[in-house]
Amino acid sequence: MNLNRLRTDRDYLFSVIIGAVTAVIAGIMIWNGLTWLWNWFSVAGGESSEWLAIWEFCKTNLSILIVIYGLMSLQASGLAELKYGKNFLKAFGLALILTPPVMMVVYGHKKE
Amino acid sequence: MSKLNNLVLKFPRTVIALSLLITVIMLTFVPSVQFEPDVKKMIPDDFPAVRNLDILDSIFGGSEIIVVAVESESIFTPAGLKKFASLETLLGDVVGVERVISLYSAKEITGGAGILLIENLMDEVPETLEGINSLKETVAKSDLVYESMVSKDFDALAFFLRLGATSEVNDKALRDEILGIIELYNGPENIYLAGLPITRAGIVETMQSDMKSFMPYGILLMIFLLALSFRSWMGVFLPLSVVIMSIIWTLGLMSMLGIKFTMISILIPVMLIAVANDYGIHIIAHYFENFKRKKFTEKDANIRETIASLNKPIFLAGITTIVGLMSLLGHFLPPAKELGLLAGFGVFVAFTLSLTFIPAALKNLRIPPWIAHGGQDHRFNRFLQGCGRFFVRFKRTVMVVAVAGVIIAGLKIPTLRIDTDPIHYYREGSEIRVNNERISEDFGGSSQLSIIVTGDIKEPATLRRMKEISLFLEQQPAITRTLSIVDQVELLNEAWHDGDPAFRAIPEDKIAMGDTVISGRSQVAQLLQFLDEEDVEQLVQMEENTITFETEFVRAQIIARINRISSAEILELNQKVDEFIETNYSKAEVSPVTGSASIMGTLTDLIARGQLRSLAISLVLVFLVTSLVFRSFQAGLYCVFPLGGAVILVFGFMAYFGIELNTATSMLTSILIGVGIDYTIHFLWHYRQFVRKGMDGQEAVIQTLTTSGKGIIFNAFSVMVGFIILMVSGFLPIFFFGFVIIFSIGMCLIGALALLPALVVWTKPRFIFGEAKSES
Repeated sequence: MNLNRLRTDRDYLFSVIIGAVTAVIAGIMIWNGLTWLWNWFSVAGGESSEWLAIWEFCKTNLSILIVIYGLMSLQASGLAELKYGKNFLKAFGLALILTPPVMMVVYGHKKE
Repeated sequence: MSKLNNLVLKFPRTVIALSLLITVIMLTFVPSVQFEPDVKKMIPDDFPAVRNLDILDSIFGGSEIIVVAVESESIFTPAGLKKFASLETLLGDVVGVERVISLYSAKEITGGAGILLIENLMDEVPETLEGINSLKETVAKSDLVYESMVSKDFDALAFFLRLGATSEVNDKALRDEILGIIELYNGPENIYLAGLPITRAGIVETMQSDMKSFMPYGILLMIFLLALSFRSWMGVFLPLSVVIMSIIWTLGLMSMLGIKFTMISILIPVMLIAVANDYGIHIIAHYFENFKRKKFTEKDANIRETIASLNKPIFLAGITTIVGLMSLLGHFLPPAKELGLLAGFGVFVAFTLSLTFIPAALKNLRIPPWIAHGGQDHRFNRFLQGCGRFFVRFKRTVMVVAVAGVIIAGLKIPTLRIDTDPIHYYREGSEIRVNNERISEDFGGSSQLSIIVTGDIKEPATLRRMKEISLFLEQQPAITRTLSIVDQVELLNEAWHDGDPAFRAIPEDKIAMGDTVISGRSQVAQLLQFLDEEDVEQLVQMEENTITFETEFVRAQIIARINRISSAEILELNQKVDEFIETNYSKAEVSPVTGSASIMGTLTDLIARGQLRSLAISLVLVFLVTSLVFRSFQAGLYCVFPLGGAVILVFGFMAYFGIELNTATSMLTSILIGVGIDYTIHFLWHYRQFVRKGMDGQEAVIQTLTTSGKGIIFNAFSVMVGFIILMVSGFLPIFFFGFVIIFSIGMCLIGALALLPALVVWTKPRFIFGEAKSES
C-alpha cells in the first residue's frame, strides 16, 4: 500500500477502505465455506474411504468444478494476453486443454 | 448522465471496490434462498380455489393422498396377498400419514332383522383357491373396494395414504420413508407410487439439479461465446463480471424478500446470464471498434466517447427491457410477478454496472495489444453490407414474406393448448409419469376434486342434495368415482333392511313403523351410529351439541376422483360443476369446487388470462416509452411492430409443434418483448443518427448494420446461447421454454435487422426522415 498516495489520491483512499471491508467479509465467508467443507469431508470420510468421499464430491459438484476450471483458464489466458502480448484465443484454448499452469509455461511467458 | 460518467472516471477504483463490496454483502444472503415446489403456491392466497382448499384442509385434515399400487398377475393368490398384509401397518406409521385405506382394512356392511354388522371385508388372507375366489366375489360386489382398492382384473392392489394438513408434511422425507418401506417388499411385483406430494418431492430435486447445471454451464457457454466474439480477455471478463454480479445481487434480494425458487424463478439466473451482458457487449464492441478504426489512441478519450454515444440507447434499451419484464407484475400468478420483479431488478443492476463498473475497469486495464494496433473485420463487414443491400433492394418482398408468415402463424394460434399438470413437467416414460399413468388406469387417478356441503348432514334433504351433486359428478366422463357419507348411509340402510337392494337409498323424510312415524333424520342418525368415528371423519365435520349432547354433522365433503386429463379439461370440469352448484344451491349450502385438481384448473385459467394481460401491458408500456424517447407515436409503432409479429410467430410456432402454454412458457412474451425491444431501439437510434448526418436510406442501413448491427448480432447470439442451457433441464416446460425463446430471439433479430431496414426505407417515417429534412 502506498501511504503517500493515500494522502493525495482520494480515489485510492476510498478504494482501499472499501476494499478492506470487502476483504474482511469475503474472508469470513471463505472461512465459513472451508469449515463447512472440512466438516462435510470429516463426516463423509468417516462413513467410507476418503478418496471415495472426494470422488463423490467431485461427481456431485462436477458442473461447479468445471466452471471454476474455465474461469481459471480465462484468467491465465488474460495474463498471457495483457502481460505478454499473446493471442488470447490460443492461450485460452491451451489453458483449457493443458491446464492453466502448463499453458503459462509453454506459451504464456515467451517473448516473441 | 455525463456527471455520472465524470464521477466514474474520476473515482474508478472506488466504483470497482464499491461494486465488489455490495456483491460480497449480497452473496452472504444467497445460501438461504429456498425452493417452493407446491403448485398451490402458484395461485394467490385470496383466490376461491386456494381459500376453499385451506378450509377443506382445516376441516377434514388434509385433502392430499398418496397411492401405493402393487401390480402382479399373482397378487390375488394366498402367497401374494400374505406378502403385502403388513404393508398397510408400515405405511400407516409413516410420519405425516393420517390413515391408510386398502383391501386389508376395507369394511363390509351386512345385517338384517334390525342388526347391522360392519366387519372387515377380509379378516384373514384366504389359504385356498376357493377362498380367493370367494374373496374376489365379495370384492366385486363392493362399490367401495372394486376398481378403487382392487383393480378390475384383480391384478393390482392400491393402498391410499391420507395425509394430514398439507403444511405439516415434508414431501421429500415422506417420499423417502415410503420408498424405504417399499424397498422391503422388493420382488417380482411392480410397485408404483403416485400423488401430488411425490410429484412435489421430485420437482424440488429437479429444480436443485437444474440450478446446479444452469448457472455453471451457462457461464461456461457465455465465456466461449464472448471469447470467440471479442477474442480478448477484456471482452470476456468485463461483461461476465457484470452478469455474475447482477445474478448475485438479484439472488441476494430474493433471499432478503423471502422469495423462494419455483419452477419459474429458476429461470432468473439463466435469464440474467443471457440478457445482463447485453449492455456490456455493446460498450466493449464500441470501445474496441473505436480503436480498430483508429478513432482514438487514448483510453480516456475512447471511454468518454463510447459512453457518451451509447448511454442513451443503453439507457433506453435497459428501461424498455425492465418495463417488458416488469409487465409480469400484471400477471395473476405470484411466481410470475416475482420473476418480473427480480429479473427487472437484475437487468437494472446489469445496466447500472455496465455504465459504471465497466468504464471504471476499462480505465484501469491495459488496452489489448492487437486491438491497439487497429485492424478491421472486413469479411463480417462485407457480409453485413451485403445483407443491408439485399434487404433494402427487396424491401417489398421482405415485407410480404414477413406479413404472410405472421398470418400463417396467426391462423394456427387457436389450436394452442394450455397445460398445468405437474406430471407433465416430466418426459413421457419417466418414472414419475409412468407411475401416475399406471395408477390412473387401474384405480381412477390420484388427484381429486372436493365439494363442501353445509347444513344438518343427518337430514335426508341434505343427503339428497349431496346425492344430486354426486350423480351430476358421476355423469362427467373425467370423474371415475365419487365418495361421500351418502354412500355409507345407503349401504347401512340396505343392510338394515336385510340387504334388500330397494333400500339402497337415503331414508325418507318420514318413516312409518307400525303406528308410529319416525323422522328420516332419526333413522339416519341411528344408522350412522354404527360407523366408527375414524371411518367418517374424512367425510364429515362433527360438532357436539351442548344441549342434546348428540354429535352433529355440520359439514360434509363430496370427493370426486379424477382420471388423467389435461388441465384445460379440468378447468372446463371445474366451471361446469361450479355452474351446476351456483344454479341449484345457495353459497351457504354448497361451496364452489376445490381440491388439488381444482388448483390445476384454476392455474390454467390464470395462465391464459395472465398471459394476455402481461402481453398487453408490456406492448403498451414499450410503445409509450419508445414514443416518449423518440418523441413520436410513429416511432412507438415502429418499435412495437416487429415485436408484435414475433409474438404471433412464436405462438404459431408453439401451436404447430404442440408445445403447450404452461407456467414457464407463459413468461415467454414478456421476456421476448423485454429483450427483443433492445435490437429495435439500437437499430432505429443509430439509423436515425446516420440519416441526420445526411446519409440516404440505403447508406444509413449499411452503416447501421456494420456498426451497431454487430453489437445487436453478438448480443442476440449471446442471449440465444445463454438460453440454450435451458435445454438440459429436467422439466419439460423449461426445456420447451429454452427452445421457444431461442426461436423468438431469432425472430426479433430478423425483425430488427431485416424487416425494420426494409420497412424504414420503404415507408420513410417522419420521426427519422422528417427531422433530417428539417435539419438540412
